[in-house]
Amino acid sequence: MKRRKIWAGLSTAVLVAAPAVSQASFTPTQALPQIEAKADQPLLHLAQHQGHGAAAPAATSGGEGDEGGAGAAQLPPALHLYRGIEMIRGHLLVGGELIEAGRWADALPHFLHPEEEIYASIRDDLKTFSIAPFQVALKSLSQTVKAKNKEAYARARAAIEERLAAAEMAVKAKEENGTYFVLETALEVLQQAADEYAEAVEKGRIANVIEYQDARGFVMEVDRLVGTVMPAATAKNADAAKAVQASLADLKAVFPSVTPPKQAVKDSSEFLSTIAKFELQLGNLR
Amino acid sequence: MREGLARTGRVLASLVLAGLVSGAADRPAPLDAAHWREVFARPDHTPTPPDNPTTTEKVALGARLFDDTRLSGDGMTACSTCHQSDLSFSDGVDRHVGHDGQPLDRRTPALWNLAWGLSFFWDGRASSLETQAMVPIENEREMAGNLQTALQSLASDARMRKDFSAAFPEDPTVTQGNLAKALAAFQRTLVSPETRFDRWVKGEDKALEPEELAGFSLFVGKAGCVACHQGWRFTDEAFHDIGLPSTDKGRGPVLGVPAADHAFKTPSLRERVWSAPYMHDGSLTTFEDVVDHYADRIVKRPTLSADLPKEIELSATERAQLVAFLNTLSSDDPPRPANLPAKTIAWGTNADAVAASTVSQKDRRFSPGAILMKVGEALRILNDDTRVHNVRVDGPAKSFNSDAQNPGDTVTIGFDQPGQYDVICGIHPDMRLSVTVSTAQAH
Repeated sequence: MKRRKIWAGLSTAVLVAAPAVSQASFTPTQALPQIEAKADQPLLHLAQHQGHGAAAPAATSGGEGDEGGAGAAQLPPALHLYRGIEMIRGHLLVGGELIEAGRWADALPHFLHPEEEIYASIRDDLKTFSIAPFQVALKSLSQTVKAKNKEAYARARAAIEERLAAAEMAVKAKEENGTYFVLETALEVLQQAADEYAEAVEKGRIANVIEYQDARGFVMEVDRLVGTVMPAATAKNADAAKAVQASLADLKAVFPSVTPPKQAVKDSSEFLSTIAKFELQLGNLR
Repeated sequence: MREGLARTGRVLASLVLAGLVSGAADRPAPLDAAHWREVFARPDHTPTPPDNPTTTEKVALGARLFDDTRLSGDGMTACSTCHQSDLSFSDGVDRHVGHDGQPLDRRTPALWNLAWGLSFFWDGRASSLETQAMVPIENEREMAGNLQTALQSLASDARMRKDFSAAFPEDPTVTQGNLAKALAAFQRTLVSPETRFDRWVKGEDKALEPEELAGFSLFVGKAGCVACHQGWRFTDEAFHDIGLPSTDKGRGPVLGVPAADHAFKTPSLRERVWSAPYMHDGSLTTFEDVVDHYADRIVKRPTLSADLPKEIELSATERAQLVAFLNTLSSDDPPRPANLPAKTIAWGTNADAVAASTVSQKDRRFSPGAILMKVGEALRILNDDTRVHNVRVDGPAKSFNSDAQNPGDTVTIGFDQPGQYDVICGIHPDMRLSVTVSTAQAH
């Protein structure tokens, strides 16, 4: 049984048995160790997510944001790998938006991060699922961005998309409940988006543009991903599916454009609160 | 009795030996690391021709010219437009779009390690970097420039005149010859840096992971890649039809030898991580595609290279190991040219020349490699090799083309003038025979 503890609002703890069980069966005494919210911070935090600064294993240590994920390393291999694939896609998505806008230099970090900060953490997972390595394809892609070569970029981008699609197919092949697996992965990526967003916002303003863009990429990618299972989710529980979509719409509204607004649309606790709403519905879509 | 025992002993020993040999044949031979470390050792200098020695000033000028759009017809295209430093001096696409809006015929080649090249372009139609450098400038679909116009433009630039003077103090002019020499000198400095494989070659056993080393064993063993990808640059500089579906005739029309149709120069494997896609037409996207091509997709036709393994059965694991090995020939980070001192090297020296009139071609080598003859004597070159060759003499005093010389064929060349002749194979340009012909009296 998997449990998460969500701290909502100023000191209100809401325990949610999710996504493995429905809300009705939650047992507070079975909760995992909690992360305390400071009294002066309206923090909402997903307890399972250790966030920045957590000691990461050497093999997964990343740069800013620790996207390889110290906490994420504890996930089951399939979920950990799919999370990595989706985070790579999120980076590429927002990087692609910047390239479309002719902002090659701004795009470059989003093409370097997948290889530098994520790939090492999923290398062993790829072996587990007999998926061909694609680090070379990531390197090639980032070089085309560095070279500001649109034709080469398009070719290299298509090549990596092909590799990611093959990896996705392999990791999903063994999942019995594909819809739930996708939603579970989406939640993990949203948690990383929350981390990035928390890094981006300072005193109600977007202080860190790259982290804002990272979060945007993750949210937009999750929106696309969830869209692929929405018919199946609706068939299972139309109300829950609708609530999931509403949560995503709310999250997307935080990122009106690839260039951040002067004032943050939400603060990081509100952002987390919206993710919690998403999470709350997963038990109903299992 | 004793004799009988001895005979029995010999028979038993033979059986044991046969059993050992048979058992060994079932398993891949162990990697002879010492041998291969010698074969793939990097050089300690860059070769430079006697008529264009490398100097700092010349290289600097060449680097500037490489980026200079005044060499093109539209004033917007430089050598570096296609040969981008961030993309291993290539362009990352299968075929660059030409001035006519259509893809060029062939993939933009990466420029690493051309100082060691014996011929240039995918079909080897240029015999030197200096010759090669001028061709794209005037090609209508590439740079669409006019050399005379470009030279006038460069000569009207005071700084450029100064740079030419510094680079060519004995001939301080903006000429086509000096332009070619400067561009060639710059390109000779593009030496690929050391990689993890080179550290292994130097003796660092742990530099390669077990999977990578297994891939190397396949590369030099079962997969047969080393038949063409030889030496530290991983190229034999020869031309092979490797069975790609492309209709491009490649080397054949250059030589006028149909047996060399569909043959293209073996590309170096250095820094290929950074220069996808692959092959002369850029038709293969990844290393995995390349390995799959050799294992499963070769188009059978009469011109296929004799150096291609007849059949390769590679498991998924073996293919992954080969790919893992190929990765070790590239830098982990985007490569920058290595700094290697230049050394003047003249091809075709005949220090060990011997008097002979018959030459062998076994194992892609003229043997002996340098001979002395008398005017009026006939040189017989026997193809006792397993490959098709093309004997050529391309010089002012004599021109000769044997056409396709099949295994077993003998080519006869007569020399009626004294002098120095370089005989090469048009398909395997590293086959070089130096012939010194003297008058009967002098000899």
